[in-house]
Amino acid sequence: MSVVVIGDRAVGKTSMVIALHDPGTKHVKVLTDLKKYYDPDTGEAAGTSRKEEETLLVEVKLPGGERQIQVRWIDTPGEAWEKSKEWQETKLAAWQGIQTEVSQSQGVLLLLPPQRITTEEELRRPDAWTNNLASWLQFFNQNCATVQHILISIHKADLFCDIQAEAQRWRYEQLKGLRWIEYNEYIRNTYFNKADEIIREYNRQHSTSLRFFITTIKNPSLLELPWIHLASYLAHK
Amino acid sequence: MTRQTPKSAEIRIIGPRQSGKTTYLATLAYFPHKKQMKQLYAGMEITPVGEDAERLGRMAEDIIMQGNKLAGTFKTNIDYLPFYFFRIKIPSIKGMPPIEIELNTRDYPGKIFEEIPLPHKQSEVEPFIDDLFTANAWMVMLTDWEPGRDKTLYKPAFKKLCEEIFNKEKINPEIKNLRIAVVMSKCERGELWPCRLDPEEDLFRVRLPETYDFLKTKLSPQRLKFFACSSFGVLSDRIGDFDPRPNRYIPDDGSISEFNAFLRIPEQWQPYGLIAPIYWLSTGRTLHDHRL
Ligand SMILES: Nc1nc2c(ncn2[C@@H]2O[C@H](COP(=O)(O)OP(=O)(O)OP(=O)(O)O)[C@@H](O)[C@H]2O)c(=O)[nH]1
Ligand SMILES: Nc1nc2c(ncn2[C@@H]2O[C@H](COP(=O)(O)OP(=O)(O)OP(=O)(O)O)[C@@H](O)[C@H]2O)c(=O)[nH]1
Ligand SMILES: [Mg+2]
Repeated sequence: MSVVVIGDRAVGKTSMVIALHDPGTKHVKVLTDLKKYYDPDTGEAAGTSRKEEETLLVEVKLPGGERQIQVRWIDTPGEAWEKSKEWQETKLAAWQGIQTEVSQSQGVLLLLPPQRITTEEELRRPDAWTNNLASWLQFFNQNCATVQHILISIHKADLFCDIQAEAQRWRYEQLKGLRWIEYNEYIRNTYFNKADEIIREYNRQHSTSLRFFITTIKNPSLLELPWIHLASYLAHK
Repeated sequence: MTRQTPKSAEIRIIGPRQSGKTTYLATLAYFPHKKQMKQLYAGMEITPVGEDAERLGRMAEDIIMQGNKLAGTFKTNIDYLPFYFFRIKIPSIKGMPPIEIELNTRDYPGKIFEEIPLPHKQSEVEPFIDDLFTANAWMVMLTDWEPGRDKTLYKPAFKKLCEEIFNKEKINPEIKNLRIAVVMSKCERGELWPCRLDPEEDLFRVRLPETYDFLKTKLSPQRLKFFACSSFGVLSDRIGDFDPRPNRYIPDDGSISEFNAFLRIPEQWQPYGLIAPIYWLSTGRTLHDHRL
């Protein structure tokens, strides 16, 4: 059972998993010690330079009961996804290893940066965010034919929305669960509306449709949702 | 009431991808309307037995009830396919004797059904066909009625299966007792719901004419029967009072509705027609309550 976390450099891949471990979230807790991935004083993750693999023991509280699951977590270096493809060419073997890992995994969690137009580069190319997502969808199309769960989250939600309000609205509780389809529809319509057309196009052609999230290490309730979603499937394998 | 020894039934569930096979079994394991059912028929009980069948019930709770959908069953080696055991107690219904069924069942990946008629896939399909003949009953779940699929998938698949039946029963006469239930799933859909009362006439003969005619000429009524079922059912507060709005949600996100439907109101989850095919497959008798 493996879950691969992918996304551009510094999008927050390593920090996300560390935050599930320390301080931890209410319904998902990574029990495996992850201290080697971060500076315990500052809590900052070191940049991932090569593919890291760790078998995580994760405790989840599902409506049907509490469960411990083992998840093989694969952290991929952000550089691998740089659009220049330089990394992919110079480290061909490592790149192919990552592709294989992704294609054989149970679940893929893609983290996207917030959509903001701040840099000059972004001002010149207002569609950059959507184009970036489009190239990820192409990557899924080519590599994820048998991946059952593809989750896409805009990370660092604290930079673009009222995380308290959203967390209040979409609170997962063990007994009540969460209406996932409503959450998914809301997130897609609210935060992914710019990419509506390409998402529809992808869903039309694939039987496993995409699931959407917003996450931030600053809010444990939002942060744990993609992991609860995955766990509800992985716990029954 | 006379107690009878439990009847054992060995059923294989097959059908194309996304036809609702796994959802059907998870619904059976969880039996969301058990309370209402017990009011209707005291003594009605469905018990999943063993780890695998119990897991199906938890999947209903953790996934279907939560507004998610089950993941597709991926094609694997037949040896990895679990057996699901159920103990089913059905009290006397409309003059029929009470019965206890020990059900042993297996849920095939849809891909295999789609590969049955393909000559170049025969080596992959063969172990599954062999396994089919270790059972005394098959449940074939279909969900769409595109003329193309009627002609190019369902009929050829049944053609191949019937060839196998006729070859094998020459050697093993027991196969003459094999029963096949052909089930139209997801029948809460508006255009199907009124047809559920006579599925043979109003669903299969009308919507899948090629497949229907083929099956009727090849198999006697003792071996072949048509059913309609819906794991999600329609909205309603009280049993028997069917508010005909489907209890399902189909998101408008570009996906094909067949691949992507969700239970809408879990509190009103009242599946339709779950038991009738199992009852007929294991006894050869028909249940005269179309809700079951
Ligand atoms: N504001 C904000 N910053 C975050 C969040 N998550 C991570 N960060 C910051 O983003 C930076 C990059 O985080 P990492 O976890 O190292 O990112 P990564 O994707 O693993 O990066 P590579 O290993 O280089 O691919 C760090 O400075 C984090 O503190 C978040 O939710 N909100
Ligand atoms: N409308 C409706 N949809 C249903 C019903 N039962 C299942 N579905 C949906 O149909 C799709 C496929 O369901 P599955 O149970 O996974 O189908 P399957 O036949 O096991 O598919 P494979 O494992 O791929 O062979 C999912 O989106 C389900 O939510 C039903 O009774 N009504
Ligand atoms: Mg299935």
